[in-house]
Amino acid sequence: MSIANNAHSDLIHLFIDGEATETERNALFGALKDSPELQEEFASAMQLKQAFASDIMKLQPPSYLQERIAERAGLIVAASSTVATAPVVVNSLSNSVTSALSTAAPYAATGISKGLLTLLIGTTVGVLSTIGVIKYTNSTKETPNAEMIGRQSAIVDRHSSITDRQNSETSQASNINEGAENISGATNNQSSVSGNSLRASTNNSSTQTNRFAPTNQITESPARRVNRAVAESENNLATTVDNNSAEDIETVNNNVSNGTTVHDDIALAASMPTIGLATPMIPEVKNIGGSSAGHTPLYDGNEGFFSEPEWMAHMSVILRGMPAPTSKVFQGGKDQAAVPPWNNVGWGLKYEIDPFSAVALEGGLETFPVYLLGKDGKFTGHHSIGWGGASFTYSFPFAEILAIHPEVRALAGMSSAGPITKFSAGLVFQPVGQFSVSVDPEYTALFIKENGAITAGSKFGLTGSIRFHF
Amino acid sequence: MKQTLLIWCHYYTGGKFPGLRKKIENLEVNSATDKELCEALREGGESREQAFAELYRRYASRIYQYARRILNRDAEAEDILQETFLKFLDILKKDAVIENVPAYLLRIARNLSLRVGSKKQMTVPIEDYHAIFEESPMEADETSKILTMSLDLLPKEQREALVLQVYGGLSYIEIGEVMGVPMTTVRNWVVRAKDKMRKIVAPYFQGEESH
Repeated sequence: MSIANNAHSDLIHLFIDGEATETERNALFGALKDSPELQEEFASAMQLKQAFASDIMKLQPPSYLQERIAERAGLIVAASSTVATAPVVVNSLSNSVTSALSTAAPYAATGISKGLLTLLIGTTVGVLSTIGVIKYTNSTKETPNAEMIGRQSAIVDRHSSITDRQNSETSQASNINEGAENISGATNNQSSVSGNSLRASTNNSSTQTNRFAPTNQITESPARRVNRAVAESENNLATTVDNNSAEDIETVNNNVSNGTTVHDDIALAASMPTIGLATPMIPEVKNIGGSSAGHTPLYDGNEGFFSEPEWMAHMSVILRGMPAPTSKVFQGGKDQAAVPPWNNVGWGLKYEIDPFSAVALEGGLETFPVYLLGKDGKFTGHHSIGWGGASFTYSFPFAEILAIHPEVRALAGMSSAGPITKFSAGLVFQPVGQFSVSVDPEYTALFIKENGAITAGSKFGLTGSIRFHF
Repeated sequence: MKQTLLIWCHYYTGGKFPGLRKKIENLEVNSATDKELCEALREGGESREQAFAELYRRYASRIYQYARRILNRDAEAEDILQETFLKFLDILKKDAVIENVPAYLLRIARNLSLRVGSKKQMTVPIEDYHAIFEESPMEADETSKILTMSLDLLPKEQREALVLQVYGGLSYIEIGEVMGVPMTTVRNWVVRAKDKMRKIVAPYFQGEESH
């Protein structure tokens, strides 16, 4: 029996080493079933195997030995590659490329610091590039509405001459307070006027049929009156005018048709009344005409006028998303990190240079299955990256059909794993000016630095985005 | 797939990344057989460096672990590793045909280790094993200490066969070729050695489990 037990004990080790024949395996299994002692021996033999495995993992040769051996053998020294367990083997790049990419591709140890650093760098790159593009376009493109600017200059000139004339009449004013009642009456009359004509309101501001009312009856400054009239004309561009003066009406109508109602009304108003007690404060006219975004300008007036910077009209916010599944082509190997269901979320701030082109600052979080080779020679799987960058989008509005037009986009930036680029081409549906949605097939390429070398991977998928215009 | 992707990246970037080009070459190296790597080492050229790196990646740890467990000294194990590869590269230059590279490397390592080990006493009487245990400061890990201790208690042939099988990763047949003995002899040595080690280390592992 002891001989048989000894024989079975031997079979245990043969079986664990993978050297047992089929006959020996069957004999061992049969013996194990009926012998608790043998089962204990089997368990302790497995413990010994595990101890050996643990010892093997700890016993690794120093990394410098490979270089030393290669040097002594007269081989060109390869990059130090510690024993790796994954299929990717990396090699060194030229020093210039490595150093350039090492400064461009931060390789932080923790996910949080890596993501923050990436967003910082990407945002900085995006901000600088966007500012550069804006400055360039502002310096090179023709100022919009130059014709309007010219007319504005003419209006200002007329205002100046009117001011001079009115100043000379100041000395004639004696009783400003008595005019307050007239002003109230004029205000009531103005509200009853259906038209937007500055001429009409100005006429009714005086109890006199003659629109050139005595100065001592008016206390409202010309500027305030002009501003008030401007506000009214903004609201009612197409209504009727007072026909006290056919010539004036014709002038106003012409201005309405030319789209310069507001501006020329100021000139007309300023030229009519001899009421300038105080120096008229002609409101500074800004943003004449419309921008390419179709934004209607408002004056940066003296009182109570809302003012929106022109650049804001070009801005929009983008939200992107890409649900799984996507086509994964990465690192060429079959071993890939599993892809969570939610694949991609991104956001951006876009500036429209003109109806065709736009630049944007973008960032996002994205699932990207990638194995990165660490300095300890082991691979760690990453499931997602954070990225930030700048993009350029070119639209084809002339190809619009049913409010849908195509556009293409290219992005360059940095991610927590390395430099990243994106290319997309899709269709944009813009039913109204302030809102649009798009569907774009998007290709993403990621360049990863692994232990001194660069490997690349890519991902292809479908992205949806929503855009809100300011 | 990986090769296609890398080739695509290489041409897409206009070949501006020399690392990509090398990567493509590495792909071929990774999938090469030991014989092909030896051929590349023998022929020379740019692929020699890559072939050596791949061979080193595959077998350096085995050689180091074998030498480390036989000689119980880090410095000597490193020397054995270096000398093994240098000798191997020299042999390749002489147009030697090597069928089984890992076994050949370990044979070289064994011969070198025997030369070094013959200068020292390789076995210790069983009654002194506690003293040996205390004199093994190099093993920081408790398990490694226990294994080292129990290996030192084995007869020379059994220890060598066991180390070749466990750390060298050789089969019984390959061990027989390396040691120049029949496979059945190797089988007996390995089984005896493991059974003896199992009996020695079992109390230690059982003690850990009870804690």
